[in-house]
Amino acid sequence: MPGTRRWFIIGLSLALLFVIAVPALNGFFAPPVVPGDATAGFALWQADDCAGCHTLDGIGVPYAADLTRIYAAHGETDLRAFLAAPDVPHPALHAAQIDDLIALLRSVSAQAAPLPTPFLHLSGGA
Amino acid sequence: MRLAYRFLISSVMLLTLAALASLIAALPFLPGTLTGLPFNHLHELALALRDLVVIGGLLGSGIYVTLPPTPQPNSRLLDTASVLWPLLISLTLIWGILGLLATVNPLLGILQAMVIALVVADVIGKTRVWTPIPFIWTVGMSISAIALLISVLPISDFTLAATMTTLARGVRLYIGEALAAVALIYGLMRRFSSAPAQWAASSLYTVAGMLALAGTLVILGSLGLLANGIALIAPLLYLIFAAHTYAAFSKRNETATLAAHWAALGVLLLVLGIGVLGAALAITQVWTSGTQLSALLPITAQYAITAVILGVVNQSFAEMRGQPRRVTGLAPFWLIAFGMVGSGFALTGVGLVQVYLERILGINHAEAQMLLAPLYSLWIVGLATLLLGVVVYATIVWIRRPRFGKPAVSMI
Repeated sequence: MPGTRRWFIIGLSLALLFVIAVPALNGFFAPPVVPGDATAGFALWQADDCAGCHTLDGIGVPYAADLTRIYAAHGETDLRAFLAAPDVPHPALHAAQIDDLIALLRSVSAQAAPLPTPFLHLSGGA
Repeated sequence: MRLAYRFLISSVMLLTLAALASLIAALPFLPGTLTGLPFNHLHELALALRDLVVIGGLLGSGIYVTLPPTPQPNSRLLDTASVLWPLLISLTLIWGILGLLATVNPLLGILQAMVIALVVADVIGKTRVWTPIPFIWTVGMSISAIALLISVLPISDFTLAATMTTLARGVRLYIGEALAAVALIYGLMRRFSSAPAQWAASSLYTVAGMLALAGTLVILGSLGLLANGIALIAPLLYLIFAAHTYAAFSKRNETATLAAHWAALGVLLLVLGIGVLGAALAITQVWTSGTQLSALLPITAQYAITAVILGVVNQSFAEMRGQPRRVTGLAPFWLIAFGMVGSGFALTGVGLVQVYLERILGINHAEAQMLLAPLYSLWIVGLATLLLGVVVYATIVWIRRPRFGKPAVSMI
């Protein structure tokens, strides 16, 4: 069997079957259950090219911090405070846009597998 | 052959621009660097150019390796592809410099898929006997074109969009383009090795089937859908592929070109990149997702394919020139090899320390980036070496480019 065209076609067919079936069986293609404002937040994420610097659930560029679990790590109050007065590389956002973006980050954070607890907590300076 | 030459020479020139854009875009990782330049736009431009290097190189190589060297009648399909390709390059450069790539990405994806489809359709129309090399190359490029079209589907939900992006990019790079590159490695083997043709044909079918499965494991691993033990199968499959190619590398013939060197570099990067790194990231998915380690995986895969393309350029240009000797020499080979492998190892070091600092010690991102500066500087040295090698390679290739009109010689 090995070394024939049939072997290759079987291998390739299995590969393509698995790559579609395994995510499907794990619910990756299920209809979204995220609230509408998270969808608007994703549209804003795309429009402002946030993925040009940040990563979210593995998608994007690790120029700046990974935001997959930022909602869980910093909480909504801190995120709102930052987004209301962002520093230079970040665009200024309206209140409704901040709501949408936070809804997206909350949604992604809730779905992300939790990181193992850090072994040590360092303050990083005096 | 002229269209193959145009695709290949454009691929080499785009590689020069991509290496330059990658180097400039990496600079802000060093503290104290000017922050005025739109580095993220340059990074996106470098990504887009690397995609074009791979697509153009695989198409040019495929035309050269799969079609017979005898003059072919003008094909409307190839004529259209030869018009669309420079248009695609121009649009990518203009939109990339203007920082609009994220906005126009779907259009570029459709254009890329169209160019691939036109060339593949021409190869299908002209191929009378489906030996393994054109067969695997055609299947690989067809999968790439379909994956490109899937990747531009508009999806409004983030979770579904993330899944589809991972699947489409993974299928394209780790299955489609990887298969096409492996077919080209076997195409080069016919030039530099005296391994029996029947063995090579059988070997290609065997390894192509295994590597398709290995690519699937890497993709599912990046979605966090693999048990750790299963992910380890991917490097084993890639090691079997390396063992197969070693049989050909160990039986070198008298061919003077550096095709074997480039093919060996391609095999090494495929094994280390998709095989070893892909499995490692599948196992450590929660820890490494969103770090420099996960960003390294597609880059290494593209470097591997690029090495194979540069090997085809070396071989095909020698044959088109009718001078069966080296085109570029060893200096650019070693510079590019050190640049690709060195920058890859440096970024691996960055990623490992980043995971340790941010996700084990809990240091925040900005502080971790400051601590990583020495490792980032090694990465930038690697990228500078790569750029130097690519510039030397492109310059020599341009000086010694084929002059059509002289009789060509095949060294099969």
